[in-house]
Amino acid sequence: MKALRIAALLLLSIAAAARADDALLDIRNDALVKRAFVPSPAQKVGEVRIVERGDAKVVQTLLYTKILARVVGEIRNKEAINWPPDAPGHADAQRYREALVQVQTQIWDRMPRGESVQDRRQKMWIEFVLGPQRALVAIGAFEMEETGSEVKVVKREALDVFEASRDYVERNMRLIEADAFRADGETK
Amino acid sequence: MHWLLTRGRFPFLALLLAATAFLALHAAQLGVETNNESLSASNPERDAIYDRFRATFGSDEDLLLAVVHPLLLETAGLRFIADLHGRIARIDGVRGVYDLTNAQQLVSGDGGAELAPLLPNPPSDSAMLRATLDRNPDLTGLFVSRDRRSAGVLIEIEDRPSDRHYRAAIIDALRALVATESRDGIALHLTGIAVQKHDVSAFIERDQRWLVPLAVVVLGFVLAAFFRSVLGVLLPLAVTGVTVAWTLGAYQLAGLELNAITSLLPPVLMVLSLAVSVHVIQVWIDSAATGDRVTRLLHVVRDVRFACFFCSLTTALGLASLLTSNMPAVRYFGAFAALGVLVSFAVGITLVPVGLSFLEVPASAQRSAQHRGMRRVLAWSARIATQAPLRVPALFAAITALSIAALPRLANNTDLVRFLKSDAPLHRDTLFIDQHLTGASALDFVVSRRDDAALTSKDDIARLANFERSILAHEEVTGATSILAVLRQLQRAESGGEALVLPPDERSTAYAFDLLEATPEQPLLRKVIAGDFTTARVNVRIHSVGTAIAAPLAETILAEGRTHFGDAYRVEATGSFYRVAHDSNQLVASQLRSFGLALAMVVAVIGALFRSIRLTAIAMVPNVMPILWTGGLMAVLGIDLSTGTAMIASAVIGIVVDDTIHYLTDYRRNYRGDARDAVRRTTNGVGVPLLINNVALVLGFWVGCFGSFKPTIYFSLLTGLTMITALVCDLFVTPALLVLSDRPRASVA
Repeated sequence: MKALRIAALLLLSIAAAARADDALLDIRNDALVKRAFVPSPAQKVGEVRIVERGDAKVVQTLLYTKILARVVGEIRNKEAINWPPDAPGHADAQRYREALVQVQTQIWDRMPRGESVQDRRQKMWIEFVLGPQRALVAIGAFEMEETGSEVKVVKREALDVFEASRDYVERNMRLIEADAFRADGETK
Repeated sequence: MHWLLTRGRFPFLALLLAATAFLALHAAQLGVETNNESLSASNPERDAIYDRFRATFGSDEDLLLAVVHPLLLETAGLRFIADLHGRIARIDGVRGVYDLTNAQQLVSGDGGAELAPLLPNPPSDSAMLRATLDRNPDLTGLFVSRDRRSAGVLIEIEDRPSDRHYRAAIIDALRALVATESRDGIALHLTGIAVQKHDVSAFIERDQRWLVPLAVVVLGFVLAAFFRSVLGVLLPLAVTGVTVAWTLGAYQLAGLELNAITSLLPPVLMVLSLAVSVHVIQVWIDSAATGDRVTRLLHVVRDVRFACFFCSLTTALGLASLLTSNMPAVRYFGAFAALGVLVSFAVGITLVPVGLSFLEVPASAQRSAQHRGMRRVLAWSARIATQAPLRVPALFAAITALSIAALPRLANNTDLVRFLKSDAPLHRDTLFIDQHLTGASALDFVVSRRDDAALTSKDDIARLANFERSILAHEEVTGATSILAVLRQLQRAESGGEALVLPPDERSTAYAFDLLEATPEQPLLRKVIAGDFTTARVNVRIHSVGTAIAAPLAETILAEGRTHFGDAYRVEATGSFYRVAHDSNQLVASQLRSFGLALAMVVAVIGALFRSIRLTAIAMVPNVMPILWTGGLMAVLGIDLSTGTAMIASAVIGIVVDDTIHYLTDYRRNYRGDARDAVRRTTNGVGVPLLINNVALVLGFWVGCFGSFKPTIYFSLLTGLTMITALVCDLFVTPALLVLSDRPRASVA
């Protein structure tokens, strides 16, 4: 009976956590603070958005590029530099690096192999979410509509979500923001 | 004419002097073409393809420097190349330098393929370097030889259309480097289209400096030997000088520059402009010493003017027939040589009598040893022709038949490198690079889709790979460079494997092009594929062969390409070397057309002059025969038909027919019902000026044998030879045919 109670509690806590994740990843009430094309408006592979999602602050990266593997490779390189093996947060960075490859591979595998595709851009979103209680890293695929330079996410799917240390998420958010908006992330 | 020989002498001389001074001033400013453009036939469609090619892929005139170093893959060798690289890159006008020390390769990185230096800096052990080179076989032949003893340095030069001198300055600077660095077992060799153009220009200038004075000296000696008088030398040389000054002045005023073919104009004009002077002076010497000076000169002019005019006309028409050539250099040569011949007639028939009007008729020069010897030879030839009128043409016909039999062996071949003498630096260097590094010549093929879509599908790439495979199967081909080499490296680096294979499916192929689209190395990529990927270039390096091999090879590869790609694609051949090969292909047809036209015009002029089908037919035999002999001789000696030698027939027909015209004119005058008697008189009479003129012509043409280009050397040698054989035909075949065809009657004179 005790074991049953423990299992039920576990399931409840997981469900609660999932609900909390759902809330942190729910984009319906997002308020866009600012955005920037990366690496530049002329050669954009995506954009970085600073978003307020209820109480949570979110740094959202939307990548829509034909060379997603290359872009992911560069993100992974930056992660390796920013989080060396002896630095706190290295384990989170490592987890993030693995998740990036995994999701990028899933997106790549979804592309038809033997036929030519009109829009070959692979679309990946990455979010660093800093809620009052929890800090999340989420990565997924999305579909979008474009009007001029405006990109509207019409459908999205989370393919990997994991909780990371607040310090890791906070610093990474700062670094991404600084990189995208050309400010010094470490002095902010 | 009377006025000209009396009161008009000084005004005429003053006017002539003024006009000559004006045109000589322009002639002195005549430049030398630096880009050999006039040696390419104009072909709007082909030129448009080449222009598009250059606009898409840039110039195809890169230079290649081969470096032989005893420790090439050791630290010393690589440092040497790196130092050389720096010095070359600093030369003004050099856009880029590519060699082992800055070559890059694609390696597997965190995000897939990454560019990395081919060789580590500082260089590591040579075994590792060799392994790296083995792993990148596309670089062998271009940056390093198969035996790893020679390295290649590819030098990309800027395209400055308005700057005529920067290329020469670059090549001079590179040659200076070659001279200073070739020591202690190190040797450097430089080649490339730009070097060819530079050297051709330099050789033209060198030939102008040497050949013109040499021609003056030779002609002076010949004239002195025959006429034994100062005026006998000075008057023909004055006519020659005026002719050359006027023609080259007009050439310069037409906005043209000298090229490898028109550089022959001065010596050829000097030679051709002698004929009228020689005939006028010889007839003046031979004329009976009766009447006053002016009357005698008027008789002389009356005697020679028609024959000289028609001779000049036929020579000019023969040369003008070159206007049908599709090669501008040949057209310019034909047009201005024809103009020069007409100028020389006008000047010769006026200036020489005016000059002679200042003199008394000398005691006959025919008593000289030279003239006695000539007359013995002439008497002998007349005897043979009249005593064996059947055997002589039969013997000559047999030689002609043998020549015709040899004609099919005549090869149509233009080889720009082997046009130069074997000790010329370009000849030496090009053949070295050809044997040790890579093929020194290159053909370019351009592929695009008819629907103008990008060539980024797997099917496009598969077709390109099949095309490449068929290209590499030709033994003359030493390598082919295209986007395939990049795609293979990319696939290897992306997959993390070792095999150099193309992307396996549609998605990977598209992704490879997506990566290329994003690469920062766009300038290098633009050398093999257009920015929008709609046009691909296949650069085929071939051994340094002549166009006899290259032209059919290019056409075969083109046909293979069209088969591999099918109707949905455009495949076109282009490039500097292809243009030369293509021109050479059309050369024979063009020259046959030109010769046909020259022959027809000459026949028409002779027909109009003699108004006799019999004499016109007889006149053709001794003129066509020597041309066929020369063709047969070229075939036997292995002398190719090329830009220079293909001109011989058209140019020479109008010249050699002059002897026949003079002979037949004199024959008609001497004919009193007995052909044998008329032949004897004619041969002994007109034979002397014919011999003098021909000796001068032949020796004058042979001055061209001291030129720098084999086609012009062969042109000069064979034209001179044809003149000798033509004169032999005129002294044996023409009289024999006249005797054979004679129907005795009272007189036709």
